[in-house]
Amino acid sequence: MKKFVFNNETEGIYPLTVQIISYIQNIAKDIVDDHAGFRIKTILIELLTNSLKHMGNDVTRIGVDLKNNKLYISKQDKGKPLQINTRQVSLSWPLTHSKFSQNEIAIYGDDFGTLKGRVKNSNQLEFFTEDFDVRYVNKDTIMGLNEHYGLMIIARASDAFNYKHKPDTGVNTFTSVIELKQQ
Amino acid sequence: MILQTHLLNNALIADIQLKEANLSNSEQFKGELISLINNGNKFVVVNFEQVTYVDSSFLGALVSALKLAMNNSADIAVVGLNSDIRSLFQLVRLDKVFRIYTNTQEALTGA
Repeated sequence: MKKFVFNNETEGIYPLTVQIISYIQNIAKDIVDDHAGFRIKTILIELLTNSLKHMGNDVTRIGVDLKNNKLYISKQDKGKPLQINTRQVSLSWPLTHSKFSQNEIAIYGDDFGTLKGRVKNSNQLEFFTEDFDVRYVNKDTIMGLNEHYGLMIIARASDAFNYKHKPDTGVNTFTSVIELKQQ
Repeated sequence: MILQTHLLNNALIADIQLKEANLSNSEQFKGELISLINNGNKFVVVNFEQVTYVDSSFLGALVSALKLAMNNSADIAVVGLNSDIRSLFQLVRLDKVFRIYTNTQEALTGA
């Protein structure tokens, strides 16, 4: 796995994104088409933005790995564990399954879709979205729009997206997986 | 100022003077756009021509301003999106919420 260091400065987001994309294009020459390129760029920008929001002055490590045409992009830091506070539940780590119906938690959403987390074990959450086909947009739809898109963007741009917290080391890892197709 | 504005027919064109539309400037962008709505402008066309990328916080700011516009019987359209930004709008379904045009002329004619 190739690792990159992000210094958590806004000015570093785009240069690092370009640097990582360039590395990925080198290791996955024939399998990164325009759509995959968009997904990779979007995921990187949002992972780095998430880090800026939550990490302050510490450094964050971005890992990139390619195995069997699956691209793994991970973000690792030792900041606070993922905080999710909804009307239903406030997450604390380790997670307790009994808190959630069907081991799922609705994180945020609107008429177009909901970002959810599925509890894989007490230290791991897998994100996914439930999307709805909205045919008619009216004022109520707009007034109910979600204004937080970060994790939802990554979840939709990824084929799989999860978060792991390691209580013994305090390490938090978000991992996005993209299945690349041979052109 | 992030937004440079000028009137064109019945619309206020607001050019974003940024290459990177991100967390560091989203609050200021939101404040400026909200001021334009509060000043009574009924149709604001936000021009992204100079913008290389947009992050989630900037999208959130745009949505927040649209809600205010709706309450003021105003509207916001967006123009000049590069292909990645247009794809991002589609990814978060904002292409169903904002009127998206290629350029300001199209926005004015509603093409």
